[in-house]
Amino acid sequence: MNPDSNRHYSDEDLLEWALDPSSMTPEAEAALQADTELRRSLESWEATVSELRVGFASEEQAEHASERLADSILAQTTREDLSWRGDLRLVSSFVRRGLSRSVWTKLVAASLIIHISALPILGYMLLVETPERHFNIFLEKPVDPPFEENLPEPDREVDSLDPELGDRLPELPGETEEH
Amino acid sequence: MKGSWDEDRDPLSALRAGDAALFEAFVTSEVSTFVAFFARQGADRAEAEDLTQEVFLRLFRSATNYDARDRFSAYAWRVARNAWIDRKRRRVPRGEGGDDELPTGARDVIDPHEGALDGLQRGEEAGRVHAALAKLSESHRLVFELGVLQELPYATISDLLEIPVGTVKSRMFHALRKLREVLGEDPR
Repeated sequence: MNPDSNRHYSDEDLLEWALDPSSMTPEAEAALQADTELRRSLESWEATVSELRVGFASEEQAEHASERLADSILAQTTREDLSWRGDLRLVSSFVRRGLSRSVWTKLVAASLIIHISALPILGYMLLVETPERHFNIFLEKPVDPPFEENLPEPDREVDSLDPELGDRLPELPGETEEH
Repeated sequence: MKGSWDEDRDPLSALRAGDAALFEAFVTSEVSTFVAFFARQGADRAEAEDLTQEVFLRLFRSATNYDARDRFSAYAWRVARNAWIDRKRRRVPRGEGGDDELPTGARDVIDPHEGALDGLQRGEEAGRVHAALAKLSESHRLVFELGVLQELPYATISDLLEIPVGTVKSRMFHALRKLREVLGEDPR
């Protein structure tokens, strides 16, 4: 007697057959032929599996960005561009991925862009615009006349003129007074 | 996955042999599969695309050390699962009910280029199945994804998730029973 002939097949077994008919043993096939109830149960599981597969297949067909994504993957694998353009593309895709991951990264990047954009404006303001006029008032230290300190002392009275020298001085008209 | 990528159509074996065409075909064909996978696991649109890109880059970089003993599709799903686990570790916890939240990818599945009615119906259908899927625990959702949507055999799922086949069988049953209940309750 076949040991499988009286075996009770569970719903788990039926589901496995519904998913993968090749997993069914010859004894199981024979049992299915003989038992209508068992066959109906299997058909019910097959219908469920089929409905779910159709439901999810419609979802996969709705993928519209797959072509762009496939191009991006190929550009990084078999069609990798080894020139500087390729490097640029890798860097830009890295930046894009980084930005898409975090709100904080986006904020920091936006702040950086604003600051960098403001630099030329700041430079213009500093270099081109006329500086505001202003006046400084300061008092210089008075400069002493050089002869006060360095002039040699006269060796005789300065107010007594040499009478000979006075005689030799030319007379200017109108300047000589008669006493 | 939409195509078969095992044995003589293994993209990484071909890449090791110097033929990039199969890998390119794999990328072009399966990008949407992985985006949808990550969206169903709970990633938002940008994150799902980012993770998908990461999976393909990891696969490409692993080509030099790739050993074609396993099925390529199982290998690719393992890479995807690891990428998802890594991402979740880095994520900021969204709150206690995070695991039961509606996967945010459900909000982005409507193609703006299609007809308004088509888009609405498709969006409703996708939203309905997403809402049902969101009621599953993460472990059940992953088993469901790999078994029902990716059509991997139980033995491969067991190997990939490092759990016994009996556990895969049990999780799959509970996941589908729950989905059947939820979708059956739907007034549509």
